[in-house]
Amino acid sequence: MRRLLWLLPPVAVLVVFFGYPLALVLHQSFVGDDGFVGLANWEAVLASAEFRRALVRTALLAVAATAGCLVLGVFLALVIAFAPFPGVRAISRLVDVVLAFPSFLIALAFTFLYGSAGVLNAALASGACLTLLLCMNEFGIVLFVGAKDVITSPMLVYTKAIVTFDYPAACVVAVVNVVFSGALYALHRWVFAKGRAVLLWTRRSRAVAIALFAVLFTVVVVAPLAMIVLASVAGSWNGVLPSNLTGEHLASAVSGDAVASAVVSAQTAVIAALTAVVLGTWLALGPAKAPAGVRRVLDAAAHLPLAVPSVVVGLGLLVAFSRSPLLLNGTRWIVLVAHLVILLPFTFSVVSAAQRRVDPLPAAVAESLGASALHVLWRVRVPVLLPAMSASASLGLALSMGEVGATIMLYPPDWRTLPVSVFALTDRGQVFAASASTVLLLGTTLAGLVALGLVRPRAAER
Amino acid sequence: MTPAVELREVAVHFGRTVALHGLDLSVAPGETLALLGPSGSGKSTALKAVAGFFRPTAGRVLLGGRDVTDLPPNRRGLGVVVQSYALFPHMKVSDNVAFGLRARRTPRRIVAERVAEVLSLVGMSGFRDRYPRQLSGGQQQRVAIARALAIRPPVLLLDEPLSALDAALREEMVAELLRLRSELPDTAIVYVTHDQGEVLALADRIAVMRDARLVEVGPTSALYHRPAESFTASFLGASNLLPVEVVDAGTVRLGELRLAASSAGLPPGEPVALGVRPHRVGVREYSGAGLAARLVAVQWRGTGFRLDLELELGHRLRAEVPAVDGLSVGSRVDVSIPDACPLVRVA
Repeated sequence: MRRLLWLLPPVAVLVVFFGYPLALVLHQSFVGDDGFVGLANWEAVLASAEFRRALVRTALLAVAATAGCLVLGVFLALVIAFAPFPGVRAISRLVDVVLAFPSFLIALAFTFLYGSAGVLNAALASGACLTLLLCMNEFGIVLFVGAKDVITSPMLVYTKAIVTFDYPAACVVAVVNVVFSGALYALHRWVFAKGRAVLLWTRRSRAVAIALFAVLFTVVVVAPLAMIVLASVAGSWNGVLPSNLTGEHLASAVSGDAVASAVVSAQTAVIAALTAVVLGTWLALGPAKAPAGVRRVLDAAAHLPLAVPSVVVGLGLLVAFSRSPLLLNGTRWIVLVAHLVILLPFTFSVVSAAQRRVDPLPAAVAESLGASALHVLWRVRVPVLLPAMSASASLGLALSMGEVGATIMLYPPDWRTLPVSVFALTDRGQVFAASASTVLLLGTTLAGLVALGLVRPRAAER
Repeated sequence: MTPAVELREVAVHFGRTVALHGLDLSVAPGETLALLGPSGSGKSTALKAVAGFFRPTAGRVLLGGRDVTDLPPNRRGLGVVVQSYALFPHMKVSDNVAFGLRARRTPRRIVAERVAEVLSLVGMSGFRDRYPRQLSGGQQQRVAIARALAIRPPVLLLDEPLSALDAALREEMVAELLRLRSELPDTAIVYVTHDQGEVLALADRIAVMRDARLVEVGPTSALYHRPAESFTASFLGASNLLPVEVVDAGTVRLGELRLAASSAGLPPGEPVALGVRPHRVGVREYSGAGLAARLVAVQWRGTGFRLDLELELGHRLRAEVPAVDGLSVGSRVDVSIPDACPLVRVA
């Protein structure tokens, strides 16, 4: 029992900033403007055609996205793993950078690529490509392509909470979304635990694999990035390619508001990612000697935010911390907390996976040499995990830099992140300026990832 | 004399699995006790219970007469070397060796002196600034031993320390350990292995284990030459076990062959077998003078030949002979077995 006590701080963070807001969302779903109304909110929401459409669409998108990810993601990963070629590390780093891409801008990039005036208009319908990238909790893409036509349940949460201020209805949709996602996540865990996932790798020639990889990588990763870069220097874009190329957008992106937003984004990402790495490592290391049941519960609890849309995280924090005793709404802290909650399962996941592979004997031997548990932790267990911690920091940094779902619900005027600024620009139709700001965002993220990448091999060598 | 290590009815259970049945053992200061047995015999479990890596389900562990059953590993003061060496990959050799001393807040000057001393003892003085990944298996093993010795432990626990090495290096390291052994006259060593060669070279006493139980314990030479249990005879020295009938206190019968063998100490009526080392089996062309057998297989082993034989009485037998002149696979041969082979209980 005493061993578990030291897990209190990270568990408290999860409970206070994730569990408690989620519980309040659940509670709020039973409360009307004039007090407790029982199931009335639920009856109203569940009876609405809009909600049912959103739910069905969300499920269909999730299934399609999963299928797309399985085909594309697994293939790309297998080529990187089993047919490495020169430059593969740079390509992996580029994939990391894509995480920092605000997801709604993927929609913009694909519109340039495959839309009505797109480069590859002919065979590929933009909807099909979008479907591959949409997943159940995706919010940014749907926000950009238009809430009117493609309402999904995270979008419905956003609309009800921020546009119509119908908090109870937003809470009902959020709860349904969480249950739905939770069930899918549980299914994933079950399949994973039972080893039902079957991976087949037929032996193909290295050249064919790499060529196919190049095509897929170009279509899915390079092309959208290139489109954004092209758009950032476009004066106009009425044909297949942009015209009247100009450096104006980039020049204004590196001065004024965009830079201020970039600094806010960088500060948010660094603070949130580092805190998430510390707490994630803490959670991963803590239950090593705990009973298997406790380990399973902690593992599930730490992964739970993964199954919750970022927009629901935002709603929960709004509901929970817009009042005393902890009034965070309107402060930068609520944005930092939201990013922390969103990043924590990722950092935990990376570090705990590494922790499971670590040989436990060095720590045991260190203890037998007379070192206290704290000394062993600091001098043996943590250093061995430094490469994983560095990797999780990179992941956290990239994710935080691109986070828009929760931030857009929570940001105060003095803490506007770059993705929010980019969205505001696109919302006003200034897509070229938005693209230029995105280039700045990607540049900042890449610089951060490269800096962490320099630390990583050193950590591994030590 | 107070034993350096004492296990009293130590049992270890993992859920429903019994990893170690009540084990009673003691090791005197300066003595080397080998725990010998196949995989899953409980020997490493016993060692880890002594190290404190897990708490026994039952029984007590005493070190120097002090009950340490409830103490964590860092308060037992033992030196431990494991099969994988478990060196700290992010630390240089010197930092690995200094780890235990620094954890005990030993003054810096003394740490430096002691690190130099133990690295010299294991012949690794020139490698102090290398990382473990820059060392060979044998070098890593020496560093692991130096790290364990640095804290001057009264007891050194070695868990299959040579099993990750190739055969040539293993022999070299056995010689190194023997030299170390002579330089640490007061240190008790518990040595876990499944290799009888290491055991015979290094151990003062052997505890043979099987299926999480102690089978037999005794001085190395006595256990090798006069094992009481059939498992010991076959595991330590690869004896052939030939079921025999006791004729009287000094004679047994194998088929029509009468052999001198002492059955003293064996309970009457219990099934017994004759433990015959392969190198003591004689094989020659058939003349009807010995036990008739058929030669089933011949393996050349460099220094001699290993023969697999099938006695016409119905038992299989292995022999090791210097030459096989006139013998071929499938031929009928005469087998001779010397007197005074040990009689063992059949489990």
